[in-house]
Amino acid sequence: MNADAGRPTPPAPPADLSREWIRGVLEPCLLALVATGDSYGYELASRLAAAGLGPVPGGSLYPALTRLEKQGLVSSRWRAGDGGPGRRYYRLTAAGQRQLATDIERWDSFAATVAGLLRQGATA
Amino acid sequence: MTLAAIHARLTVRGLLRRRLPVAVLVLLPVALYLASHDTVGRSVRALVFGISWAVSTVALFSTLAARELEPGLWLAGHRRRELTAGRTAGLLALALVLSAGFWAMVALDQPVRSIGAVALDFAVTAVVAVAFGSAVGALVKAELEGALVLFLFAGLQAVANPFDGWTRALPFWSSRELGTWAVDGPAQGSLAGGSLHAVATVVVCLAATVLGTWGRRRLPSGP
Amino acid sequence: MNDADWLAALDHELALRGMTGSDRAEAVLEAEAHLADSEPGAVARELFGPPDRYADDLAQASGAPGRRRPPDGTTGAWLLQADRVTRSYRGRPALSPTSLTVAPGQVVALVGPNGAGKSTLLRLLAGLEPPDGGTVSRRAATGWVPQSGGLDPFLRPVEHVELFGVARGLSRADARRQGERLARHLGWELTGAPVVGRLSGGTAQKLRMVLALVGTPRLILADEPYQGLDTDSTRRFWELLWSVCEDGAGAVVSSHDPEVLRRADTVLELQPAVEPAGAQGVGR
Repeated sequence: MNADAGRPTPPAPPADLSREWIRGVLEPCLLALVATGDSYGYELASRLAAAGLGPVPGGSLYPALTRLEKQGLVSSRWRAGDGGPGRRYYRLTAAGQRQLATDIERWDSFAATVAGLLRQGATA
Repeated sequence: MTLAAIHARLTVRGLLRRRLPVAVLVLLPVALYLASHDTVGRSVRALVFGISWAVSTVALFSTLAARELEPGLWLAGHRRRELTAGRTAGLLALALVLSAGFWAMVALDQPVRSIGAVALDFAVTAVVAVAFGSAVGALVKAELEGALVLFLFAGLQAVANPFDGWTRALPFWSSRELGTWAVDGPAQGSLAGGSLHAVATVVVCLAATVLGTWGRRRLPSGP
Repeated sequence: MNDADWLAALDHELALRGMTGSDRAEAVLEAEAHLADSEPGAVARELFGPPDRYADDLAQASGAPGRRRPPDGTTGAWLLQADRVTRSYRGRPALSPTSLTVAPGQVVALVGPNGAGKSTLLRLLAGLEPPDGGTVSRRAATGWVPQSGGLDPFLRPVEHVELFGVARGLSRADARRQGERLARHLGWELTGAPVVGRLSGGTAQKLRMVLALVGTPRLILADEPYQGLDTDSTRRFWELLWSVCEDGAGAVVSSHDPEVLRRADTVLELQPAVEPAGAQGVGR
């Protein structure tokens, strides 16, 4: 099963530096994706890739999801797959919703700060 | 149900699933009996001979097959005594039921002097055959060797002159002696002599079984 | 490493880090589901990284206690102790002096080339043979997985299970139930199976494993236990063995497959015993 089938080619994978950045924002991004509807690990990874964040290896994805669940920001439930081992679907909790709202605000201000700083360097 | 009882039950079940040995066990004595059907004495002696050979062969196979299972069972906590007792009990039960069947056949078919004496002869033969087959099984390495040993003794028994003194060294001398006693009366065969021989044979066979088992694999006292 | 092995290794690594029961099973299942969804050619090791690192991340994320200290027998609790045991057959050394301690929870891998005495050592450890020199002490009931044989071709698997279970103190019904559960763990249905003589080699091997584990003996000795098993069954065997060892059992598993190294807590490597000058042939 390939979730990328029929989709446009995703943007080029980011360079190593961006990979470091992604690690920092992976959890808010996952919250945002889960907010649009229940989803499971592989689908989330595909959507992150399609959005242009490059392939997110399972080795980073599931620990992040586990942390989110541990913090009560998402909950998970197994649904039987057709013949396969079944899938674990993640759903945003109320706490997750609040966290996401906070994350969006904090990200906007953080991104603006960083952008300002970087441009300052460019015009110096 | 005790361990020995389970072992006995499964021994019988395992043996009954061996189609060919079971067929031989039943058909060989019957064939010998029918082949000498015209004389009462000869036919009974032939039947006893058949029982002795068939039962000891089955006991041999069972003993050798049990060797595979025994190390694991011993480690699982079966005592050696329970293993041997269970298997022997299963073999004895099978041999005695079989002998009873043959005895019923003779009782219906032949005008023997004392049908009770024939019953004793068959029962003693079954017991001695179990002991002898188990002893051979404990002493040899493989089925073929054991079968050849049994064949050697059966052949000697078949061709030897029963009045020669050395034939008393054969394991089934008692079967023949008791058979003669049953068919021809105390003047020809001795109940005491036959019984004593049977007891002695069983004791020797038990000793050989113990020695063979211990010599093959000296197990420490317990896990 | 193929995916089945990777998953088995992950399970083990998670267990070592104190992740228990359904958490652990779900983490493994989730990785398995991810692999099933992935494009053909996707490899677990590339998607998730080495099993121990992935297990570290997952365990940390879920707040598990962290890596278990591998049992080493220095705490004084031991199930099996062998002290400089040796063995020779007809004057030919089959085993150089070997010492070994197995603690509760410990899985010892026994490796070495053919003729190094792996089978011999296991038979000595089990007490099926006396050593020529040295001592063996056992403090636990022993489950034995022989390399071959050990079964009656004319008895059904369920009858074997009764014999072994009752010997370890179970009722016949409990023995059956436990045997069925163990068999299912290995991906096999015990009930209704025909007599052993009609089983395939792999299925007979599963029966040997079930017989070694029924009645929960605390010491498992296995001689090349997964010869003839496919990778999935091998993985299931290890999962079963680890879960038994987590409950306090210890195990010694011989193999010439280097994969066993990764799955065990301790590795004991045997070298072929030195033969007298001019001696020929290989001791058993």
